[in-house]
Amino acid sequence: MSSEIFVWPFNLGLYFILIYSVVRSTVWFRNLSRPDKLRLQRGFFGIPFMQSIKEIFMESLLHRRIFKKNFVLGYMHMSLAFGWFLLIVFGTIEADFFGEKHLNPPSHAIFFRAFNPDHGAAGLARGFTHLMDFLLAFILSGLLLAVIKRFIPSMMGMKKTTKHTWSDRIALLSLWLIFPSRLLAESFTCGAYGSGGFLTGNLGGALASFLPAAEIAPWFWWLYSLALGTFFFLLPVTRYFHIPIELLLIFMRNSGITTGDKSSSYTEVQTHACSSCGVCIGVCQMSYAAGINDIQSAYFIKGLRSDRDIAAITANCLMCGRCEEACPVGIELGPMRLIERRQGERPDTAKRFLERYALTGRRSTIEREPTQSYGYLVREEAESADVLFFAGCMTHLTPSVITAMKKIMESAGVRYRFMDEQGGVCCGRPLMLAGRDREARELINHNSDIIWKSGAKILVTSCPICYKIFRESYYLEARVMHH
Amino acid sequence: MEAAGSLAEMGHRVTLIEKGQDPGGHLLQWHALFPDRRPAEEVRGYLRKRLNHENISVITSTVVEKIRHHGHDVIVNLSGGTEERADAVIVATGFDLFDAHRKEEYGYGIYDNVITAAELEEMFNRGKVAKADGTLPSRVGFVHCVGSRDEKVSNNHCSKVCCVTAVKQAIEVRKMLPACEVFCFYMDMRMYGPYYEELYRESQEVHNINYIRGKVSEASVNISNRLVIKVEDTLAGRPLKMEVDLLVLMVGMEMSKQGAGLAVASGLETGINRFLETGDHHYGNNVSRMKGVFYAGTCTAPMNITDTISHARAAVTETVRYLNGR
Amino acid sequence: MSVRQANRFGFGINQSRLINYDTSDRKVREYVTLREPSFMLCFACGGCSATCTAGEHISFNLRRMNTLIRRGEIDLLRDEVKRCMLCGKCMLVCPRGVNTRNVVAVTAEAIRKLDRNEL
Repeated sequence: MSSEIFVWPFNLGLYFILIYSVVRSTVWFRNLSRPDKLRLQRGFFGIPFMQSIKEIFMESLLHRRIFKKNFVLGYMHMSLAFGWFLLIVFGTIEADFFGEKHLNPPSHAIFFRAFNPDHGAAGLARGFTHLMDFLLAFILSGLLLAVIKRFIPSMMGMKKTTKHTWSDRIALLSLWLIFPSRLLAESFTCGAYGSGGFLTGNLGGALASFLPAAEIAPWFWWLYSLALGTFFFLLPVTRYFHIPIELLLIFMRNSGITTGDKSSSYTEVQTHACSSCGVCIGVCQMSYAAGINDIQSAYFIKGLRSDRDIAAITANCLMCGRCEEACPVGIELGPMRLIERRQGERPDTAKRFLERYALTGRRSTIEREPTQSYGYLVREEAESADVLFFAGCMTHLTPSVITAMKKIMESAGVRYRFMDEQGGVCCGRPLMLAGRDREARELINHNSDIIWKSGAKILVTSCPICYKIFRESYYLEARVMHH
Repeated sequence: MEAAGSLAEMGHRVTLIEKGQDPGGHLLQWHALFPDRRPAEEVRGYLRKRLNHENISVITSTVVEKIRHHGHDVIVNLSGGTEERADAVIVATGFDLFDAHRKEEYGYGIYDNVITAAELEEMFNRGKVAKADGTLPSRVGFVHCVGSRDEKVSNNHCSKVCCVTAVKQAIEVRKMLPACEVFCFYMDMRMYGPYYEELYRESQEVHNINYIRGKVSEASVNISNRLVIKVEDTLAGRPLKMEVDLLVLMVGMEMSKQGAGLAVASGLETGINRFLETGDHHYGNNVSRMKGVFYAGTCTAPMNITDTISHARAAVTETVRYLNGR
Repeated sequence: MSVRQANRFGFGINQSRLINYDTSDRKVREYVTLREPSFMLCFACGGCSATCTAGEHISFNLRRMNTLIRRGEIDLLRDEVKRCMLCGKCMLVCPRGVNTRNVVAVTAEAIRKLDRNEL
């Protein structure tokens, strides 16, 4: 039927995104390491499965974490996500229950009002009509907030919103068009036929009183379909890809898969699960303390996705972890940045193009040669001591701490040695944070040797940087304590 | 004091408001002045004589908190709650020395025997240069540029006079303690004034003072409790460390605290270096944007005593021009 | 015949010790300046080298490295640049606010790229 042509933009878009998501997820699954594959398979059964379903409901639909941050912001995200979800679910029930056949194609549910313009006069059907209207109103209220947020982010507790790329903008525009065009399409149709719920019916009636509703309605159905189709087609290259991919991420995470030290399918999935919500920008110290707003995690991930040169963004991060804590999707932002810092240069363009659009599943890199080497360090004769004090590079510039520590140790009467009194060797953490793990290991070995040979039971640090690496990356018999 | 003296001679009535007990500022602390090491007392005597005029009245132990323009007059609010009315005001709030505690790596306040140049000058006044335990030092080190030319303490400016002060003090130490070795650790030798460069030459030729080009990065103590400094001998291209008995920090000039408070309260413009911003750097160096308010001395920029006195006289000229032109 | 040509024939004429600024290799300096603009602020005070952790153990002199980069004397830098421990102490001392740690990292990168003819 000619009136059915208008559903094809929607159909094509929907089938495209479904097939694309499945194909890409399969590629990612196949590129997982064997242990991770087993984990994920197990994650589809039993408790992890229930956890994932619960998380999908609480976070992807209700956006509980965002609610905790700011009520209005949470409402906005929830109304769009949960509202749309319910609209689809109840729309499908409506189409299957009241339609000619049961199990109709999706377009029958989405365009129900177009195919059944005078439906919903009485009884259960009328109830459904009002319900669908209510859900549409619910979504539209969130949409209004979304528009406001673009212009006045502070109203929703956001200090900054993410800067958009052109594809983001087109996708955003089509997303924003979907529900208003549905409203108008349904209203005009209802106006022409005298049907509709409390929203579409009344609006339709008002419009029909001075406009040729029956002639205008098809235009808006076309617009609705085009908006949906455009949105679906653009999904893979925009931030909205997070809608399907976050689901995959949740299953993966609840199966026990973690980011680790190297680039893998999981980092790819996380990259595409980022919704560019911009929460990480506001909590970033560089943003609110220094006014630097172009290196936060959202931009880092955007850069990874579109394969730009993000050397400057990768390096400019304090690795404090606030963004990771705040991320509503639960992306492991810290480890991902470290992975990027560790890797060498990227190979040439043709292969990278394929990677961007799915087809190899993993970001390839040239293994970086070690940039630093410490063969010049001489292993000293270690003197024995019970307690070692490691001041670290920085403490030498704040001598009051050194003087105090010496006094304390001397008064305590312990057999102590000021390990790096003559300068010493850096603990290695700055090297690790720069992604040079192998080089750091040389320094770690050097210091560990001294500590082991001294036979000390306790190692005292006065720098939190040193403390962290001594605790986490050194293998010491001695107990590490901070001053 | 100079400005007051000049104005008084010309027949104007002058009130000088001094925050301490005696007028004279930092000059009261100095022992001998560069370049010829003449006694500071001579210059103090000259200035006191200038102040000794019937047209001048002096108010001491009072801080000026705010200045504002009111009609033809300038009103000055004093600590203690009173006000003074004037036809014109000259701001000469001077400078503060950089607080050496802020450069913690040099160990000021942590190790004995790390002192500032002002404290060394005090030792000259007392006639004895000694370590904290009273013994005589056998090696003294001078660290240039403490608190100046240093982004880390937000003082990008050069304080101008510390280099020549270091050379002067180095010579004085050598004269007092002929057995003592003296080292100066500098980034540059800024000997900009008349006979300064000659003083530098004299210090090397006659007094055997050693100069090492490098910024001292930190000071520590060794096992015999002697100070050890780390520096790079940039001319030799290698890091160097040495023990010293006494370390003198050449602390730089900053805007005085009370002057800064006055500027904020009165809306007087300050520059990025936090000193008072003058009307024009070349030909308006004594005027402010407020009518009837003029600037004299180191409240505008670091300067030596000679230039401060000349600056004061220039301020007087501007003030008189203003008063005559009304 | 130039000194270089002569050398190729096995004549042992000593190369001049002069730094010829006009024929010096600009590429590394320009790369470093582009990636780390604060590099140009260095006034060779030597504070960084004085405090350097690696400098205690071996000849690693950041101030001299900066000077050599600016004069195009890259050959002397190749090994030296690898000795930095990236600890960052130099940055705490620098009175001009040069991002010394990044200068080392970028210089190492520049030399690698130079050797692969990518500069």
